[in-house]
Amino acid sequence: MKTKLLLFLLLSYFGTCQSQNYKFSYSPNSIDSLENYLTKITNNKINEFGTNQRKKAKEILLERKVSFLKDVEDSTFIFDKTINGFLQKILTEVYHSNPQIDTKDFYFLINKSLIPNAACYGNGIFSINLGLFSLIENNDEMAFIICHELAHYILKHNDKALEEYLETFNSKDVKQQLNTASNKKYGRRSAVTLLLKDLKFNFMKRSRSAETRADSLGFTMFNNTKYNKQASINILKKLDMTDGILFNNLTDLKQNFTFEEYPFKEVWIEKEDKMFDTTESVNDLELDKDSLKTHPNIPLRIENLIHNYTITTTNTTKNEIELVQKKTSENSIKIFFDDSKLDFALYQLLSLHKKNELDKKAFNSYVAYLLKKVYVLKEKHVFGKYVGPVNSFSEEKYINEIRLFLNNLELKDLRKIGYYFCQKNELISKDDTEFQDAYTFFKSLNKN
Amino acid sequence: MKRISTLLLISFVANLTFAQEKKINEVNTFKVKNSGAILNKEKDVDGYYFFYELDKLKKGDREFAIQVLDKNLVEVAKKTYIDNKNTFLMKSSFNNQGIMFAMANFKEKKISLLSYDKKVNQLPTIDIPLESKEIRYIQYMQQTGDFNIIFPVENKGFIFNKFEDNKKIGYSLKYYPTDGGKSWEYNSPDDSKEMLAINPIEVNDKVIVALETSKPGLLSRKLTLKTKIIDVNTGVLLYEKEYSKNSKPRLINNAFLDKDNNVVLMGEYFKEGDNIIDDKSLGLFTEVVDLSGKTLKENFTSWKEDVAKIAKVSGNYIEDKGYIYFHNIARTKNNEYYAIGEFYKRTASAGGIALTTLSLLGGGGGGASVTQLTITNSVVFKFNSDFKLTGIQEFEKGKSRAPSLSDFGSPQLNAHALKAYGAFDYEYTQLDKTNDRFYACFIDYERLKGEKNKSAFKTIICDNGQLSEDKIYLKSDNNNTDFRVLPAKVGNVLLLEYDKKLKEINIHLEKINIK
Repeated sequence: MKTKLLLFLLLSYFGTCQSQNYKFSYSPNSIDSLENYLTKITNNKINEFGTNQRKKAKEILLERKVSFLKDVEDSTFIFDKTINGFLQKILTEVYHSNPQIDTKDFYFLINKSLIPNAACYGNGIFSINLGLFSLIENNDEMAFIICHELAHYILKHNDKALEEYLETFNSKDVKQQLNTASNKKYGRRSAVTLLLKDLKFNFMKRSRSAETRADSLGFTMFNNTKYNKQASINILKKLDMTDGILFNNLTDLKQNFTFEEYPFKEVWIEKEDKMFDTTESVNDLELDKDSLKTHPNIPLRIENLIHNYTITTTNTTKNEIELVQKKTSENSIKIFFDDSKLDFALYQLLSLHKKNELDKKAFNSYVAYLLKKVYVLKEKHVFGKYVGPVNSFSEEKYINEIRLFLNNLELKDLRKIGYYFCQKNELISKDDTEFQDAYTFFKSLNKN
Repeated sequence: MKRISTLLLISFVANLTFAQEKKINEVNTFKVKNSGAILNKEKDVDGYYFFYELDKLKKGDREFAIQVLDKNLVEVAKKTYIDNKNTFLMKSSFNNQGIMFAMANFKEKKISLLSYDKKVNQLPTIDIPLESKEIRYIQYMQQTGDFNIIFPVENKGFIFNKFEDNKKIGYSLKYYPTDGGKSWEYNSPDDSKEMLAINPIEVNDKVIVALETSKPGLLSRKLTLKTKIIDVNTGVLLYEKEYSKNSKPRLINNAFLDKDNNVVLMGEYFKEGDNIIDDKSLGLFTEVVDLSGKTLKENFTSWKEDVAKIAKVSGNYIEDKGYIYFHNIARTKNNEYYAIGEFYKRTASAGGIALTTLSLLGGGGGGASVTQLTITNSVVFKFNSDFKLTGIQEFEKGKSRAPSLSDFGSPQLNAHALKAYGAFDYEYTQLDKTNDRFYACFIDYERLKGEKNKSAFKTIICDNGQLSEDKIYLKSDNNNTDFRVLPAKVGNVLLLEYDKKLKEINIHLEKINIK
């Protein structure tokens, strides 16, 4: 039963995306069956709570269910045969090596976010961000992440957090303190803030301890699998490195947009002066960031694992990894275009082009289309709705350079860049309809 | 794009995953008391501020928060500040070394200058006590757009422009350095028999150019303008130049400091003996004055001869087309000048920055109106480096009408007073020094045949000597959205879209298009 349900949900999707090789969908085959599944697991979860907490727990869990369904409807998740198949094989190995796990009603989804992350919803649903598929180098690393998330479920961390919340906010003591603070005639904001600061600090402290426990149990399960145990340390190190900078691939922006007839202008990517000499917003109302971290520092997590377990190195498994990463890259382009995130789309196009991971014809077609889209959005004065300006505190060099470029381009620049880009690549892309459409558009703009 | 749930600041605690309790949200949701753009003298935007009241404290005090966003809408600071409940944020200014806020409390009769350095550390607050009469004048002044109560001196300091309750009314320019220099004051004479007001309009690292307006009494029509050049480092008056009824009657619209530190004054000139309030101007002028006060060059463009010739009208251009209210005069790198104005009828003169103080000394005022001004197209006069008129270009705009403010009866003064109340469609002009452009912005209410009337944000752009217009309609197709436009970093506008259904504000920067 469990395998049937899982396969049904994972593998049923519409393979109807228009462009190139994109055979993924933003919705499962049947949203109704997903809703039924969610209703079932939500009800199960509600019934697990004691009578004194059930009413409030029900309220919160139903709210979460609605929010999750909205995420699905809002195209937060993608359904891709290749990627889901890859994941399924790893899951099968993990489950097979850990028969004690009751995997009934487990449901793994792929979140379209490129931030390398994964999540356990606590009700049997898990999500793996698309960005994680780009980060891993082998199946082993993904297997450790899955084990870590499964550990959260087994250790009932979500349930405990909810229980703790209900207990705290339903406790007479906290209610009284909250009432006293919020009924104060003077200084009620600071009184409430102080109270919440303590509560939040306790929640976060427990959350950090939960992460450490999930690492431990996760590793125990991972240890039962055939995978290379060193992968647990490797993936944690990678996650630590991506903590600050996500978009660190070379893009060669200038080389791609300089033409003999219309050379690249440095002013397009000129950094703006910062208003203040600070590295982040100076916020008097912010609580101490370190005390509010949900995760302990990764080096500490690595240290814990090394200290508590013998970590051996064996051969790594690299089944289909290249194919999955290629699909991830291709899908991300499509996702960025669908969300009109043109800055990310251009970054992805340029970085894949630089790494020779994108067919030249496809690259031409997408860039020409992107330039046309930027022109049209700017002409209508709506471009800023989709591409924001550069955050002066961000150190993401490549994506920031692209944002500056797209934001600073004027219509007259775009007219020329679009035209010369198409002219330069005319021969390679002569049969490409999308490219030709953009070329015709730019030709007509340059008539006079 | 930024999304803000109505005009509320919801503090960090309301964003906690678990903090969904209504009570907590109520305590931690704050209404914006006021907000605005932080502009420099070129009307370029350095950032935006939002002023919130956070908490009620004992003895009539309040905890406030000032949130500062940079020109790219990124929050760079959120500072808390405790002051009396009647405090409001009157003006903000940024000089590249720090930010200064004028926090006014008219009940307690004071303005506190609150400033932060480049690291956002609070500096000692400067309290400036006020007299009732001074407050009255400041309140009038708040209604004008061009009066500079805090004027930034880039990388040097700030000038605070205060009214003084002297024998009549006077002023005091107070300079507060941020570069370690010395503070100074420049005051009008205590015993002056004239009512005096001043407005700093241009500054560099050496001098300040300020326009002083004086008149014998509130109802007097005898007006004298003086250009004052003050040493920015010492506050010493280097020279002053007078324009009065009997000596070069002129209205000054704008002033520049050129590369040799000469002052270029621009505006309208009148016949010797004419009153700039009552009489019709003869045309436009420029005058180049060196730092000793000596006039190096003067040029005149008459309505009758020069303007009529270029405009190809047989008679007096003004009588034919209507009067022009010149809002600003912009200069490009090759010393071409562009005077930006709007046509209006039933009045006879023009104005400028000096008239901001003039309308102030006139007392502003409302009251019953029997006449009205009809404001029509915008217009740009182009002059070459010798201030010879070389072109006139009109840009179509719908008619807007404003009732005359009848206190003084003079149509000219009415136009200036109306300008102070925002009756004209003109919003502001931004100078883009890097690209040698200017952007003159208007809000027009378009009445198109067969279509619903709609507001449009129109910008006249000068690029490479060519004038063009860009237009943004302030209306969504489904009519569910209200739009507001705010100034933004040069060459851009900030669009605020309020979705009435979702009760959500979307803010995005958009480039002004040059076709």
